[in-house]
Amino acid sequence: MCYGALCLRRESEFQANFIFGLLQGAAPVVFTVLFWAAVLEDRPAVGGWGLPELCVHGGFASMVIGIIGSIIGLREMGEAVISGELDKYIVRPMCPVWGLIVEYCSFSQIWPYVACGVASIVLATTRFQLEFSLLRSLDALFLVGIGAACWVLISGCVGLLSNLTGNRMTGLWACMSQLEMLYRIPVPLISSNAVHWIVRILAVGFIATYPSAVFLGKFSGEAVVVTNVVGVTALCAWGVLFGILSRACRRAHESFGG
Amino acid sequence: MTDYGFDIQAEGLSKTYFRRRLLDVLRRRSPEETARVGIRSLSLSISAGESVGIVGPNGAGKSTLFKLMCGIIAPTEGSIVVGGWRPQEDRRRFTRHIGVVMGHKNMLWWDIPARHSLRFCAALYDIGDESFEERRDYLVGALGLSNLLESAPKRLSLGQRRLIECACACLHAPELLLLDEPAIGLDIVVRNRLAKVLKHMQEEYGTTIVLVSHSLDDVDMICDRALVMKEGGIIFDGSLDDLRRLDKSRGVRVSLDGAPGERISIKVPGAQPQVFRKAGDVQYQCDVPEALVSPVLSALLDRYHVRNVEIGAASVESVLLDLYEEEPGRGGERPHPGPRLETSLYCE
Repeated sequence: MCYGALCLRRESEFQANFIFGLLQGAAPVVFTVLFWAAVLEDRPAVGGWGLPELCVHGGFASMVIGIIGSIIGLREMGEAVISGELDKYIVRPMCPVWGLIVEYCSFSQIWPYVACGVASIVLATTRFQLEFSLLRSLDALFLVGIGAACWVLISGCVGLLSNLTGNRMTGLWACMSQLEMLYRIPVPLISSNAVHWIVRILAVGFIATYPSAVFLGKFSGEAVVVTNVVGVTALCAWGVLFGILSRACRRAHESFGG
Repeated sequence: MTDYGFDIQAEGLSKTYFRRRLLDVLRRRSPEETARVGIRSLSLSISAGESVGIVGPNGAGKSTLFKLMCGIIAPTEGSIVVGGWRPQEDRRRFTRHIGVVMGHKNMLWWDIPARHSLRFCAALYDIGDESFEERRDYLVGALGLSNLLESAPKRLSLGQRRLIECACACLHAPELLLLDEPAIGLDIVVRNRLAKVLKHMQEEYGTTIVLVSHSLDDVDMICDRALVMKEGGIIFDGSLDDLRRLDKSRGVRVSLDGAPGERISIKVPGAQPQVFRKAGDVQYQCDVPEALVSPVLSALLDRYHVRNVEIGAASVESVLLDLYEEEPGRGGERPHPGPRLETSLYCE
């Protein structure tokens, strides 16, 4: 509770972010819809995904991008380690990684993306009269949670590598930023096998493709179960890796900055 | 609170920093070749409720020892036990009982008013509302923080931020206070206030205090005991009075009529000349070996019209300077000092 209050307090110090945040959240969804509308001008669908499905896909992608964007603090881990700023969390009874996330957490990054994502899904469902199921919707939200949690853990692992190597890992963060393109395209539209493996290992598919496929009823009952099991497995695997790196970092931490 | 009280026991403590880069790996350099020793085989014992100052030249290992006590880093060899806890392994539970101020690092939330940092610390350490208000009011009054709490740390000076950090560290009445240069940027009035607060913590709560500082005045004001470190080891462990007694000198300060120049050299039979340096309009000062005080004063009285004479303890700084500049690797006892050796010109 106190962490949350600190975040809100900090956000309220920067009121201008509210307005720009709204524009920032709306822009990706709007441009995604415009892009696919242009692509699908002379064809009904691409790889089995028509404009209504792609609007739903864009909505889910926007929600998760917002959640992932709020944990920007993990990207500051490298700088916090190099400058010695991580120490102020280590000497207090709190998780240093969580402390970083909270200090840099930006709610203005979450709500516009989530709001615009939900709006996109609702508009697409009503406008194109898509079949709606509460159970599928809840499962889709569960998979969105899996995707977001996996990416938080992946970002945490990269951040902890900063601690282990004494390096800011800016190059690795830049590579991860490029993976954003994979969020915005339904996975079946990607033909490369190599990319399919990346999608599975990095749980990119759980960010938008699988939640939107479940929401739209594109998966059969068995496929839904398998998707959920794979998602939970991926989450556990990244969680274990995060735990291992955390322990290693605790011993290896050098506390730069004197 | 543990059954141990908050004592600190270190046995054979060593910390080595290994640095390996890709180039080192390609050149097949072993980790030992690129290693830097922070602390070597250090053993010490600090009792619960004691206040200890740690001083030393740059690179002596003070901050390394400090961080080992806080649990920020792990030792390479040996062990350190603080209040029965192993600081790094038991970090979550251990840190509930300590307060830390690191003078060179920001410990506050940068963008929000400082009072929120205090409130956050209260929540973090599970301080009840009543205790929080009582201690907050005391600390705000004692440290003069009332005008500062509504400002975000980014708008405060370094000294003001340090004061608030000290308040945050003391808020939960910790069993152990670890302070690394807490008085940076503080004027003498505020330093006195901080010293009083720390003394209050020690008397009221039995808090053990460990202070790392370059300022011997701070150590003198706050601490009962001093540890002098050099090159990763402890070369002196005792009270500041014991430190002063190491040097068998007396600080002699004289006021002379007709100030004769910047320096006065007094030659005493069978000893090196004692050089008095100007310390004011008419004052001259010198640390004179105890055995030579009388003949030096006689020579001064014969040669000049002496208005005033003060004889006191030698400055601690001069003792420390000698300790720092002693032959490396000589830990333990300091050799008995001979007469001061200085070269100078006679002044007429």
